[in-house]
Amino acid sequence: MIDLKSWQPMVIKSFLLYFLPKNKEEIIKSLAQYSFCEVLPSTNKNVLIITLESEDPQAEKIRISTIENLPGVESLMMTFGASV
Amino acid sequence: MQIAEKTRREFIKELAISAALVSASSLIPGILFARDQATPTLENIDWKKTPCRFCGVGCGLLVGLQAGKAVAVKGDPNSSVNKGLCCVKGYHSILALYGEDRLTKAQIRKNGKMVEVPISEALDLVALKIKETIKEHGKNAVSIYGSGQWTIPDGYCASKLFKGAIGTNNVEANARLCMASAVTGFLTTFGIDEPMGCYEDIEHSDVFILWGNNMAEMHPVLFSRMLDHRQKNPHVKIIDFATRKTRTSYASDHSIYFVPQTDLAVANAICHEIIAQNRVNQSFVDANCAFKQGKTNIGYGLEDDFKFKDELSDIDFKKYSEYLKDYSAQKVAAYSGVSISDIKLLANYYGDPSKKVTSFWCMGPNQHTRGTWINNLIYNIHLLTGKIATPGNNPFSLTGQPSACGTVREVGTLTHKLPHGVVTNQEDRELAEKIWKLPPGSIDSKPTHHTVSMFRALDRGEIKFMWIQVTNPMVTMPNLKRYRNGALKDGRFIVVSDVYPTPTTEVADVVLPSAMWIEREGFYGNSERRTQHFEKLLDPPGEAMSDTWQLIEIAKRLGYEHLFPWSEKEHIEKIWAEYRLFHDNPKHAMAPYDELKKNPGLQWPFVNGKETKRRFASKSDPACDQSREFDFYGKPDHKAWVIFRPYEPPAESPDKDFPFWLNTGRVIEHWHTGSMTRRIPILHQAMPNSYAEINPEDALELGVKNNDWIKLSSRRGEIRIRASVNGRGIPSKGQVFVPFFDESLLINELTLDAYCPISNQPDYKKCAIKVERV
Ligand code: SF4
Repeated sequence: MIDLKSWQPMVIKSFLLYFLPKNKEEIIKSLAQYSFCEVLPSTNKNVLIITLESEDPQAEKIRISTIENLPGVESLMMTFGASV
Repeated sequence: MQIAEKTRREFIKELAISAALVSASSLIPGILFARDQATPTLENIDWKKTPCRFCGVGCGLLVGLQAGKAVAVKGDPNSSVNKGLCCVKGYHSILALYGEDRLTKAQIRKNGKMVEVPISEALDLVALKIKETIKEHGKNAVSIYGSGQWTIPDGYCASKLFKGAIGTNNVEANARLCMASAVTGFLTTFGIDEPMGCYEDIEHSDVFILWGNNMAEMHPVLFSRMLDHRQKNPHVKIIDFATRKTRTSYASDHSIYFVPQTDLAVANAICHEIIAQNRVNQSFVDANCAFKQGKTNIGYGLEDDFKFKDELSDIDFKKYSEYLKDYSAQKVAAYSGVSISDIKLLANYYGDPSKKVTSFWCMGPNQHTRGTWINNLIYNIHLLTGKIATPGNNPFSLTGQPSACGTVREVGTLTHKLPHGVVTNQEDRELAEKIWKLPPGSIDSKPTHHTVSMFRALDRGEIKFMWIQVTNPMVTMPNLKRYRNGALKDGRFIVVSDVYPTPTTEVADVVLPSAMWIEREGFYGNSERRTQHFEKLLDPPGEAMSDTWQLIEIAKRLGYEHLFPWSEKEHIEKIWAEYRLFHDNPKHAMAPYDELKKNPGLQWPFVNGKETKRRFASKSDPACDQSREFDFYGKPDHKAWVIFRPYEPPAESPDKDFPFWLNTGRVIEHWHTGSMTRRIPILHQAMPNSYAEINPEDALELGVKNNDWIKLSSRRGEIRIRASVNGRGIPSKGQVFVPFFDESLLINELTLDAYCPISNQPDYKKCAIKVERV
């Protein structure tokens, strides 16, 4: 049963992730393990597009911080956000 | 429920990715992603090839079809243009088919109001009006104004109907506004139109000089090829020669900013330096070049009765060098804003025999009151150094529209042109009359009006009927108010064929709904002489009909069915077969229909089953005299002409009343006037409105902050618009830049309808304005 009072819609956001070139493979590999995100790498720049799905703001915060702390991640810039 | 939720989730994810693609493209010059556009479900997709609908780069796309709808797009990996990649406009191109206010029914103005009618009724009225107008006012009172977005069959049928059947040369296209100076540049220097090189030259070049060309936004896939090449070859340099800092500047190795119009002087200074440093490729010049000069003080076309004819006369190398003495680096630096060291840097790059140099340009040199001249001057640099028609050495004039080359230049949908040659040449007229099965003398030997002149004639009432297809002149004409008021005058009858309502459909008496791009079969021709075929992949909505078929329906109603005897099923194939007869020679042979259907584009001349990558070099061009290394066969002397052209000031410069320069242009998100891309939500949201870029120092002096409302005014009009300070682009001090995509902010009410007297192309880059805080 869903508790309607505490229920929050799933939120989908997209980001541009800037990274150091030497860490590219490692970052893509790490992100691939997470079921909450999908990755689309640029073919010619040190940038990835990430879509992130989170069921609540707390989960989202943790996930963003997990991604930001991956070695070689320089910055994460949000480009879109919406509730499902 | 579950399915619905999944679909919504996928849909939102698609939006999220699209938003990220758009942001990435606008923030990072040349960025590319090799992935399909995300779609709700990618099962059972049928992928079909087509050229992109938008720019003149001509990327090959694969469009995914599902249940009668286009649902996905990806770059075609088999296309040598883009090798599987595409830019943000290409990725979202299919969404332009499905805007909510798509025109699906014909409309007729009745008692001042537009009412929907069956398309057959609208076509009957159009034919009747043509007949009545010709009867009352003569054949030169009717006209057609088309586009570099016309497919080749559209332009071909327009030319055959108006020039051949009706017998008026009142045929023009919006490509006059974007590449006419490129054409006259080619014709004066080489005697034959269109670039000699190809995109593959990018991967062979050591240095790229971009002449007023913001490629990061206007030709993004080519720009990314260039950046990719530099990434792999760190010695490669990109030099941005411009009047404002753009996305291209950020990615370049060096930016050089010049005072508007002084590109003419800087180009001459480069040639002066090359000669002074003894870096002329003498053996190339001796074998392949002739020296000429043209008329000077040639005017600006501002008067309705303006007339000009250029005449070139012989000079020799010595005389040419003497003329250049007025263009020493010291003298030119004094008024161009370009330092002596930067002039020498450019001369060194061009003059260094160990470096292969490609020059790219597009609207900067073309939309110029001396557009033909600056095209000539860039060729002069490449000719003096012999850096032409070999891999990596390429003076490359780019086009903006998907078929400005294919339709307007090759089919010849301009007043003076025919599919082969010009109306003033008897042999060319006779060839057209033979192929079109017309009685001798049917084609008029006198050109009538170029675009500005045509709209002036409409204003004066000499032209009474105008049919406008695939273009939006009520946004794009310079000095717009005059031409909009002219179109609205009593006694004018305007027909507009388009896919969405626009400011141009607002002035129409009849609106015909058009089938768009892959809703019909057609061909486009891109910047590198590549012809690309596309099939009809979708049914057009409602009663929408291709522009080609609209023209054929009108031809039938006018009694010319015998000239257009084709069935709807096979008319495109038959038109192509007939059109190819005009180019049945090794200088311009076009590939057969079946070959074009199979391939993602083929470059002409297509001779003995082979494309021609580079023209004028005997090794690669079958039309060359094989006993020579190079053969500039467009000219009777088989030489390319180095033409001395001086610096002359623009038609209007800033003064105490109007102290700023106004420059106009495009942005990556929108296609021209935005009539399609503003219907693509993600692109519209990314760039909803136009803005005025002003220099930060000017902003400080005016007390204007980013996003403040300001008033821009010229001697012709004014608009209120938001200021952009330190935004995407930064103009030099004293300059303002405004994109023209926004129909609610008509910047062309301020621009000046001055044009190059040789090409008759207007200058959208220079006029004088005032900036005020409001
Ligand atoms: S670069 Fe031009 S042709 Fe290529 S995808 Fe973008 S808009 Fe289309």
